[in-house]
Amino acid sequence: MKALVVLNSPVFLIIAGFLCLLGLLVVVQTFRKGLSGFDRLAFGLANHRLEDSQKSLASKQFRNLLFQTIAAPILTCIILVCTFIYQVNSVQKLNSWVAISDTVLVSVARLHRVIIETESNLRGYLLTSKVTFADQYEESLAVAPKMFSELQGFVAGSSSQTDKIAKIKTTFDQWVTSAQKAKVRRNENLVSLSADVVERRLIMNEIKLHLEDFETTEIEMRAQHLQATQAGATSSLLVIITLSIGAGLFLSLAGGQQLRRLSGNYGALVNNLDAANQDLENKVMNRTVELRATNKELEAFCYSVSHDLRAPLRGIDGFSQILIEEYRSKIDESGVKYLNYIRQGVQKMGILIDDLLNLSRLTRVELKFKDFDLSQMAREIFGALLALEPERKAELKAPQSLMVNGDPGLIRVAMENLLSNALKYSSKNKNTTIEFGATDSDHGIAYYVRDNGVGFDMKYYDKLFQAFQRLHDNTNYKGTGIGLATVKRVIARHGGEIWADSKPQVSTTFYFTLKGKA
Amino acid sequence: MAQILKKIPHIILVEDNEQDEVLTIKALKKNGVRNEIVVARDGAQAIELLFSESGEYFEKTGGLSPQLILLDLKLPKMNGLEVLKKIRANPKTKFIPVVILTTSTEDKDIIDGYDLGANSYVRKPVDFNEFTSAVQNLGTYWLLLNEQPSD
Repeated sequence: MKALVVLNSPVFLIIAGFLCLLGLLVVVQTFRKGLSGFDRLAFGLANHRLEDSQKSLASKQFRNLLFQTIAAPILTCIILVCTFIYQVNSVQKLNSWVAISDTVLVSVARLHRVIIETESNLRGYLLTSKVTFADQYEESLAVAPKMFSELQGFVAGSSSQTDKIAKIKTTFDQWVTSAQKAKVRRNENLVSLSADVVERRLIMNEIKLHLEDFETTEIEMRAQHLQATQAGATSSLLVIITLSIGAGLFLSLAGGQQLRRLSGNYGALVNNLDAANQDLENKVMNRTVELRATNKELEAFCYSVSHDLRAPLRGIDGFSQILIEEYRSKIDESGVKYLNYIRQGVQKMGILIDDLLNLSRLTRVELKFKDFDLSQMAREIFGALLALEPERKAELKAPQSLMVNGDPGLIRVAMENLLSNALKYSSKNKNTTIEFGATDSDHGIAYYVRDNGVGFDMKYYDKLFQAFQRLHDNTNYKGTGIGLATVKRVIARHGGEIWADSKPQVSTTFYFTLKGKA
Repeated sequence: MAQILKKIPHIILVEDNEQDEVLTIKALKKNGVRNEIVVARDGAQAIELLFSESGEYFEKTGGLSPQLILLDLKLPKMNGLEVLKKIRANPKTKFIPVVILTTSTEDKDIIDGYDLGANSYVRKPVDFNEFTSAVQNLGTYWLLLNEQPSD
């Protein structure tokens, strides 16, 4: 009973209403936000290859999904709560009939008592003529009409009971008329009233019968109402249980369907991904095959360059030399000079071909990673280079030891190029100091070779590492323009970076990093 | 003439390029090599010279093996490595010093050459002076210093 009161209280209704509103708000918000965000994510990804029309289909599908996951449970809960409140209300209404019957029965009992009291007080007065009895009789009589009207108010809903009350009232009024007369006569001391007494006795009996009849009917009605209330409560309980189970089933079915749909989408996604993967693998395989073919062609090309281009050069050089040596008497000084020019050109071309071959070999050769001392290597190379120019005054500053991981053969090629460049471009200095070491940089530990030579103009920096690009003339500084391109390729094959910085005549530094074996 | 040949051991030069042939012979002569130089233009011809029991060459040498074979790798018909394989496979020729004299510096060629039993691998330089000095060293070593089992 208490719970019903709580359920029916305005505070509860306000809270329930507020929760319903909140639920609806959540539904609306989810739809609006979900469609712009999650929609694209889930369906856009799964159907990234679909046409626009198919995409809108997907978004429709998503709307259904969203409804099933969020809107459906909330709406179901709202419907359940409303039904629950309605059922409780109807049970309560039935129950109030029982309460009214209870009140009516109490009221009738009181009326009955008042009537009996009135009668006994009158009788007391008639017998004893004591004023206290007369006063009490008057008091009881004054209460009676009020009680009648109260009772009439209670049974207003039932016409038969109203009629009965009216009848009782009429009968009681008859008794009161007779009683009043008897009282007046007693006041005037007139006695012998036996006929009156009998008449009133009969009226009283009639009242009693009516009252009992009324009471019996009311008790029956109360029993009927109680039964109806119980039946109502049971049916409400059944309705609520049925609805709850129904809602649960509906939600679980919807959830199941939604899971199936999601798993279907997921499956499609995975299939798409698989297909894409397969596609990619095929592409990679095709490219690899192509690349291998290209590499093979390149190898064949290099082989033929190395053989076929060099053979005629050897001929030109050889026969020029033979002309100079064996036909000296038939050729004048200019002729000899020109023949020497021919030989110089040919030899330069030979070097170019060799450099080019080496450069291409760098890209093809397989790397063999090892830990080794780069500082030691720098000193060895420097020693060997300096031995070619015994008159040079140059020193190398290098740390005691600097362990690195890389292909020693290729790194040696790079270091030879860097160090010989350092020596070459500082050859106009009286004293040459070349520094080798390691330093921190944006790309990690960088190794550097620094010289105090002629340097280069930073304006032409972007040409520095390009093959056949030279920043100095060939008269002062000989070279083919392959050296730094070679270094760059070696460093690139090690996953490293190379860069340079120069202040002409002051200091020029080449930095490089090595990633080592992954 | 035939008798002289028998006394002075000869060299076989397997070389398809006529200019290279002239230059090689010049370089050899310049360094005082007086041996007869017999030239084979391709691999097949080299095999013919070495293994045939008749013909002008056989008559001239009387079946005597050459003192040195200078072998180019890139040859028509049969390449140098195949020729080398055949030379090493035959008991009659397996001890003849074979020097590969070629333009290629591919690691693969060098390794294959030694694998098949080449005695030396020399790259022909473009510069004729360097070429001459390389040939001089070859001649000094293989024709004067090196000892071979006698027939």
